[in-house]
Amino acid sequence: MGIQLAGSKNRPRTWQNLLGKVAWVIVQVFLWVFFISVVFPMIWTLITSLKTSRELFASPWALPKVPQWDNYVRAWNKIHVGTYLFNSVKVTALSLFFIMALGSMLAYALARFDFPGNKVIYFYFISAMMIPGWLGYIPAWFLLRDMGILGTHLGLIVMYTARSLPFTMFFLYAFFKTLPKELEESAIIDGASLIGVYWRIMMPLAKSGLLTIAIFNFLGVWNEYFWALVTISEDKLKTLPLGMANLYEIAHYATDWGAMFAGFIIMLLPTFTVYAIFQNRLTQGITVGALKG
Amino acid sequence: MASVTYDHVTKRFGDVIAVNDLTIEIADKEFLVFVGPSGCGKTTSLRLLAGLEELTEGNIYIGDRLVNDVAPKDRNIAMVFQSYALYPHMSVYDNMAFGLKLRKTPKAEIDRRVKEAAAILGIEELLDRKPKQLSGGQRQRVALGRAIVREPSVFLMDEPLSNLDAKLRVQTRAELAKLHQRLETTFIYVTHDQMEAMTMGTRIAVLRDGILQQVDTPQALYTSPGNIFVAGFIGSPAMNFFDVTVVGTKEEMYLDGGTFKVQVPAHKAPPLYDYLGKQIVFGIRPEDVHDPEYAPPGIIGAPVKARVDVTELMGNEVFLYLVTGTKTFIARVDPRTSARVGQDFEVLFNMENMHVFDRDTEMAIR
Repeated sequence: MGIQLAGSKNRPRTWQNLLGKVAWVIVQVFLWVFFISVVFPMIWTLITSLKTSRELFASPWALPKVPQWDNYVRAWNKIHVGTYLFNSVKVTALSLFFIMALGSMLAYALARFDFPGNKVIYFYFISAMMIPGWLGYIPAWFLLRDMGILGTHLGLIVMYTARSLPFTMFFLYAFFKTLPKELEESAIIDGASLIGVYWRIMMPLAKSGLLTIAIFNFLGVWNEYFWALVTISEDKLKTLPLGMANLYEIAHYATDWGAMFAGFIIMLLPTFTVYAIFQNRLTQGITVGALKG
Repeated sequence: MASVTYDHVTKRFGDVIAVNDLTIEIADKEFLVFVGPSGCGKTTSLRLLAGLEELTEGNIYIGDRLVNDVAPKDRNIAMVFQSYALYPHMSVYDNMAFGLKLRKTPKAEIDRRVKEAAAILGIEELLDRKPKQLSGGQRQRVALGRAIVREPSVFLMDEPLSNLDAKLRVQTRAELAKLHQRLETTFIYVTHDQMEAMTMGTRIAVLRDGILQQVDTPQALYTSPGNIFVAGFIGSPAMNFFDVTVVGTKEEMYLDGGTFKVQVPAHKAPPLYDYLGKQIVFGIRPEDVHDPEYAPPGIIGAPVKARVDVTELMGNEVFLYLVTGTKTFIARVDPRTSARVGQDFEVLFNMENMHVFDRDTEMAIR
């Protein structure tokens, strides 16, 4: 005989168990369907990237008879995936640098210093998050044209930085707000300058927040397509998403499907690597942002 | 090592006056304690000295040097915060060495000072740990160590013991006092706990609503409080106060509380001559209210009848909560007392230690 707790009855407990099991099965089925729907196209793309075009049309689901590594070589050399990749790395790295440097300093100043206009600046940035990004594209296009940087990497970097600053500030603001003021004061008495406090004390403490938002921004900038499409016309300046679309056009007419899928895989790799390495940090960051934002 | 002078210092936050015309001279090597209830301005006074707040009016000197516009790092002070404020991402060693590194002190010298401070505080084996791996008491020591290595002219401490448990607090209190003797430096300490202030300070400054009430040695504050606030704040349990009328003659003077009447000793009467027929506030500490059976011999005892409302056995003494008329007061008596709850009981007021205050100004009548 097990211990019978006061008020507990067998029948409801059995029902509860049954309901629990049914719910568990439903959740499992849903998760598996979701998992397959996400992973299957990736695996299919990977397999297809190793096939010839003939094989692809003859049996789309079959494995390649001989892996066509040459597809990757053609994607890299003939369709300039290397150039697109380099452009993407350059634009993403510089954008990230400016977003993180400006965003963290902005968030730190707004969160930790009480100065006239503090709230106005804060809400100015918050309001930018409420306006759909599309609305800003046309004025931004004219602005960058007048600045003479439309259609250049600098134009992309400026746009990406401006676009990402509000959320970066909002996210880091919550982080900086939670750090105790005494730490700054202690560092000031210890002899640190304001920049010293920011760099030596606040930045290391906000490391997890910085990393999380950096990953978000990386994914956003790396995969950005529309603004690049609207502004970049020179082929040698195209980033990977644009290049891939271009690749599709070229490959489509040339029917070099294998090279096209190889290009997709090359494009996917950095995103996939970032996800794989920082997966925990990413989900953790989402929760923290949700709680503290 | 340096003296500290607050010269008519005022600090306002908008309409709120946090510190109001504070003037106090703190001697070199002194252990001064700012004490008072929450919001009395004690922490603000300390922060003004540290340079973490800007003065609204007045001057602050460290030694002979006016420091009003001197940056915190150039004031040669070190501060221990209530929350310790240890840098969580640094080891204990790096926490202690941080200030010295910023001052470009040679590595060997940093190492010597950190190890020396760690030895003084008994935390040598903790140097590689991170703050989160330490207990409250250990963190407190590291915070102290961080201050010590700087070899400052003045140590500032903002309620550094308030996060420790009661036992550790008593132990650390004694250690801080020892540290003060060993370092021979000026210590300025903030606390809301009058017991801490009494046991540690060479002098205590009592603050209320930003105004300095009295600054004196612990003994003087206890025996001769300058006003009702200080009398009530210093001592635990707090002093009993009664509204009384001064009656009788200059030769035979009484304090009439309505339900009791106690005679004023002849040598205590002169300051009250002007108050004959007037109302004043009479104060008597719980330890000066005795069970007649166990009263010390030779005291000038004035009998007062009261009803026992509550008794609290503390082990070595009993607190009696007594009621006379509608007024409740506390007696701290011998544990062998026969007083029982609900019983009418006569106690003796030791009039040698009576305190009297002007009802309007609340100042001591002397």
